[in-house]
Amino acid sequence: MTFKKIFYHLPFILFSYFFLGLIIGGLFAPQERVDLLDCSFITKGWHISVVSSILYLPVLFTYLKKAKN
Amino acid sequence: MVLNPEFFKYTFELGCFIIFIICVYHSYLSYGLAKTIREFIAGFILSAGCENFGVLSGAYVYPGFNLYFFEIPLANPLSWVALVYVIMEITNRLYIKNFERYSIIGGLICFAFIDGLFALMLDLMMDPLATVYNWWIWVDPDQTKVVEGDVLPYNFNEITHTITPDNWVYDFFKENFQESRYPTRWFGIPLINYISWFVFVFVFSFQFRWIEDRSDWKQINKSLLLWLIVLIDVPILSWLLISINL
Repeated sequence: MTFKKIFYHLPFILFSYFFLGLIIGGLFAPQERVDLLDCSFITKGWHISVVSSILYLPVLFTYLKKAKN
Repeated sequence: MVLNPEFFKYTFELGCFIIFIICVYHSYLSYGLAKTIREFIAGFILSAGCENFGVLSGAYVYPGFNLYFFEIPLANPLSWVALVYVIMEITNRLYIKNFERYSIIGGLICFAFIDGLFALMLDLMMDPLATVYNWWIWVDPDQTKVVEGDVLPYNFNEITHTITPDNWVYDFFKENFQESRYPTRWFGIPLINYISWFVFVFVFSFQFRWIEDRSDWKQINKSLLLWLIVLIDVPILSWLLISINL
């Protein structure tokens, strides 16, 4: 039963894995490399993590809501 | 520390391979061999073809990977097709109850649009992170191609594919970039990159879904037609998206 559930939701688990990579990657980004982006919106590595979370959360909530129904 | 830039460089390549294998296996168990081969080969052709043109045109480079498919790391097209598979599956679960109920306009275009949006959402932050960790490096706006010194190999040892090679694709496109190349940048990345991500996923998703919707066609006919379509897509989309100098 658990395997079936994991198998069914595997695409979303992988999608979440991509975003998790972005969030963790942002947290550990070296400052001198972030500066290379020359962007006024992303000036620290954790900004990437925050924006990634903001982009991911609506999809997560929508998916969880749909999965419950 | 384990989570250092070298770790993120190497695990990106390895992770792409693993995700590809998982997605192929998932697709095989869910839909069978014919559809799996059709989708993953078509996605590979489209992604690998256009990405190679992108690199040869001088737009970006993929430095310091271990396994290459011509000018791009093998992990790149494999992970792209896996990602598109994942996205289409999520759209199917979220929005599609009975596929046959939907028309081309109301259904296929709509679903392909959602697929494109999901891909765009992911890429919005993936591309800046790619620059940070040397996964791929975009051309400087003041240059027409990636030259020596643009890539700083700070987190890998395999010094390869760090500049645009001399080739006819670059010569073909360079007239479009007389003064600057892709000057409009979002989060430090060319705007055309985000447009391209959306367009590629939208086009592929629409074509694949349309062919899968032909329930009375033989599997081999579906496969051959899809592969032919993406072979036509490669030069058209490459020409269109590389030459627009936004």
